[in-house]
Amino acid sequence: MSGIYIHIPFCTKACHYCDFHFSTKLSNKSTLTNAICEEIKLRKKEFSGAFNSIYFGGGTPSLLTLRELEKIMNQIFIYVDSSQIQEVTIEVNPEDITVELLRGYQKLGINRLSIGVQSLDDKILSWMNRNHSSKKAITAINKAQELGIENISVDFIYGVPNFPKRNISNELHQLLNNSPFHISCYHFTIEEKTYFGWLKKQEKLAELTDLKSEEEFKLITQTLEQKGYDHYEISNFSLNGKASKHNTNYWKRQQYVGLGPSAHSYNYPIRKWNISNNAAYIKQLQQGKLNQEQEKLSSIDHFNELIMLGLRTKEGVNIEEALPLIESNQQDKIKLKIQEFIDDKFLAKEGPIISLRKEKWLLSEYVSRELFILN
Amino acid sequence: MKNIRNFCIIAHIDHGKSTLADRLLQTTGTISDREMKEQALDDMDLERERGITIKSHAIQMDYTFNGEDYKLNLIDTPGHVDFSYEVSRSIAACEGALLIVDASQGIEAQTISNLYLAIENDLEIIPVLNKMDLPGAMPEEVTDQIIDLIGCSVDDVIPASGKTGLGVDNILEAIIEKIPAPKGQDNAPLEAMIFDSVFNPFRGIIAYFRVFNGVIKKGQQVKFFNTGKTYDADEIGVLKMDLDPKKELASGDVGYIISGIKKANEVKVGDTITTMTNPCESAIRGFEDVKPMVFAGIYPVDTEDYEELRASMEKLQLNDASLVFEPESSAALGFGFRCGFLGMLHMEIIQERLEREFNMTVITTVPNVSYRIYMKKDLEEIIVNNPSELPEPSKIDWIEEPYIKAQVITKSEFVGAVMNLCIEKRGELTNQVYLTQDRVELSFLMPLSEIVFDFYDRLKSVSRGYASFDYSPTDYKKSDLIKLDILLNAEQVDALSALVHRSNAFTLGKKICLKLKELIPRQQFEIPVQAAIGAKIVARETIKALRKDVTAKCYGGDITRKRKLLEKQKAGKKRMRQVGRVEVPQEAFLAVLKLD
Repeated sequence: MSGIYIHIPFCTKACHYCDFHFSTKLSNKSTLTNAICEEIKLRKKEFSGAFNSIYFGGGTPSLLTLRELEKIMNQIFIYVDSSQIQEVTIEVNPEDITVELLRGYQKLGINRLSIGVQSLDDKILSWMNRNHSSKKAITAINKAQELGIENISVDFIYGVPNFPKRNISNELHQLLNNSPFHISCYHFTIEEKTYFGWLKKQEKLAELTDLKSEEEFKLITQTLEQKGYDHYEISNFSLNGKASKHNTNYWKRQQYVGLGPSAHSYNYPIRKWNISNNAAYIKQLQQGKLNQEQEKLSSIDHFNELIMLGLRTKEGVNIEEALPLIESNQQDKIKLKIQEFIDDKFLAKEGPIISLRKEKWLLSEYVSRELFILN
Repeated sequence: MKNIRNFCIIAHIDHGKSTLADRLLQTTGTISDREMKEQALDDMDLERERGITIKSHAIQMDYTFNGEDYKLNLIDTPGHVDFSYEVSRSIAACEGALLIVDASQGIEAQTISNLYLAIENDLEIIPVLNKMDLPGAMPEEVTDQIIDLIGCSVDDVIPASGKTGLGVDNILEAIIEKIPAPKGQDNAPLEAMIFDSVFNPFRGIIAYFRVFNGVIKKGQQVKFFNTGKTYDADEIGVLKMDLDPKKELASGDVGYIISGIKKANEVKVGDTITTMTNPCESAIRGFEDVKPMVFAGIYPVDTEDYEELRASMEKLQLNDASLVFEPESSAALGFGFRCGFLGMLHMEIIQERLEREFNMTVITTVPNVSYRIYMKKDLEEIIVNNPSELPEPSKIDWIEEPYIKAQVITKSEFVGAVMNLCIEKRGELTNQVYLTQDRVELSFLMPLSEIVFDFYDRLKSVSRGYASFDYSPTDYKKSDLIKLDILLNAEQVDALSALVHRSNAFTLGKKICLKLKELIPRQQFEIPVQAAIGAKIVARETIKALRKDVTAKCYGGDITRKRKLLEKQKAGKKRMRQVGRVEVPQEAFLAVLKLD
């Protein structure tokens, strides 16, 4: 199945860890909405596949008015059969959530919320420059559930340095009181072009030791699995079979169409992406064109991506599908490597499927690298 | 002959020898401004990049002075102690030398030893004070140093600048007026000395020589005195920017010969060329078979590349006769070669040339010197060029190692620090001379092996860069040496073994373990790094297992970037060598050379 991603590149302020593309110049919002609609028109031919998901990500999509959202969705539904869409997700920040907004979302057919909770420790929230308190986050979840929006995903950050006394277990249990259908637990990452990246350069901030990271990862995994969550990707847990359809498409290397500044699109063998600059993006579309950069994946690239993405998920990689992409002498080398990893209890093999054992998930890139073929 | 001048240049690295030589070439019209590139004489990219001369070069310049035409032969010498024998032969081919001293730096150790060599050979010395354009130039002070050293007068010292061209005419004038014309008899039997050779892929070996007596003619049968081999002089000529063939070259001339020689080791620097029909009685004095001083294993990173490595080394040997190698095998690294080098720079150059010219990524093992082992039984003497070949210690009576005479010139404020370093390196102070009020020459007797281990870097740091160093080998001395082994993941890695003095084996073992811990990337399992003497572990560090190597998010917009990053990281790993189950980066094998 295929997915549509819409990047909404606005935030009221920058979180210190985030390096996604966004702007705090909100005055461009409606012009940008129009530009996205223009992009949809320009790319109408790309909507011929079997789409099952629409995802508003950012930035902060909850900064869009209902009108603006509606405009984009209507434009999409000119080309895409809305009855086939099973999942419409919007990322929201807790501080933006009102009953009115949620009702509006429901009317538009949005059936899944991804709430940026990140932590339930106010000290951490303010250290990360988040705009909300832990109380606001819980209230937001409650409101949505009261209105009948059940399919809620919660973003949670662990592995945060500088807070040795953080009680992750306590935070998790608070979250679990609401039994959200989906939890994404991301390890804290210091990105170069962020405030934290700058701090790191000044040697004022460092990542947690990996021993500590592993400890927290284990704690989270155990806690969530005990509560019945399915750990289906390194950072993702779902309840009641509510894995993200949208993200699963990415990992299964399905087609996706990305709209808006910086968004990536993929349809084998081409991956392309829009410019990461709001003004330049708007200008292009006002002139009725779209300059995208692109790469054409070689069969080796394809193989490497199958490995890299497959080893992040519970489903793993179908090695019989992957191996024919590379030359036979390389196949032999890779088979040997795979066997070594199986012997070392890194990989599990069932029929043609290899998957990384969960206790080794934190080494997924190490293993991917070993199994990569160089062009 | 009376209008020929043969001269060389003596200078320390960075004192502007090549730039000044470039100016001489331009002023004499030997090279046009259009053809000019910096360091015109240095052919190898490596020479230009490092700003040093590795091979000798020679060039003939035509110059008219006071209405007379002169032939000026410049022999550009290598600028590093590793190549001191080549330097000595180049000096022996000349009647004069330009002594180039950086006006902002003063005289350095290397300069002094080469200068003495020139004086020993009765060369006329023309002192040149270079880099006068620099704001930091100290002409009076440096002039005083020069006067003290060679006993000239103030007026003899020529102020110059390779950059601005200052003094170039005066230098040319001094070359003609002061350096004597060569002496020699054209009717005597041919005596020509080889001072260098280069390899040309189309023409074979081109040998450079200086005629002392007699005449050499194209087509003549010639004999190389020391190798005893005979050749036809297919082509002879003089060296301009390109080869300039001639029918004959007479006494005093500097030229080249091409005679179909394919292997560089048939052409030995210092050898005498004579004719078959009328040979000279004895060879020109001073010939030496250059012996390697430093030994190390060279192994392909990928074991499959062994044959390719052999072919590359053989090709390299074609134009570097001082490189010697023989096959060896290592338990850790498989098949490779034990190579002999003139010194540490030579070793680095070989490694770099293999990489650049032959695209061979290699592992160089810990270098060592040549040891003499005396066995208890029959006092049999064994030469060991590889620590892993050291016989069972209980069977050894004693071990001898090569010593050197080392000279360090530094500022007086660093004397203490330099002395401490040299004593720590088992050196024995033999002399201390104040060259000027604040420049001191220190002489030491010390083991060559200590120079191999992180000596240069240390010297540089204790003297804040104000120390220059030179050495010459002396003799072998008895030493209390033991073999220090390194174990990775409980397996001994022979390529990391070293013979060290008993007194610092512990400290060294500890430092090596620490350094390896720093250089070997963490892997999925814990790796103990140990130093051992015999069966006894003397130091241990642990490389902790890798526990996290993953990024949190990988969605639609991350995939391309992530894949490329992993590919790049994987490509970086190609320079690592699998030793047992441990992946060891190339540079870790030389870790012991760069201990803090």
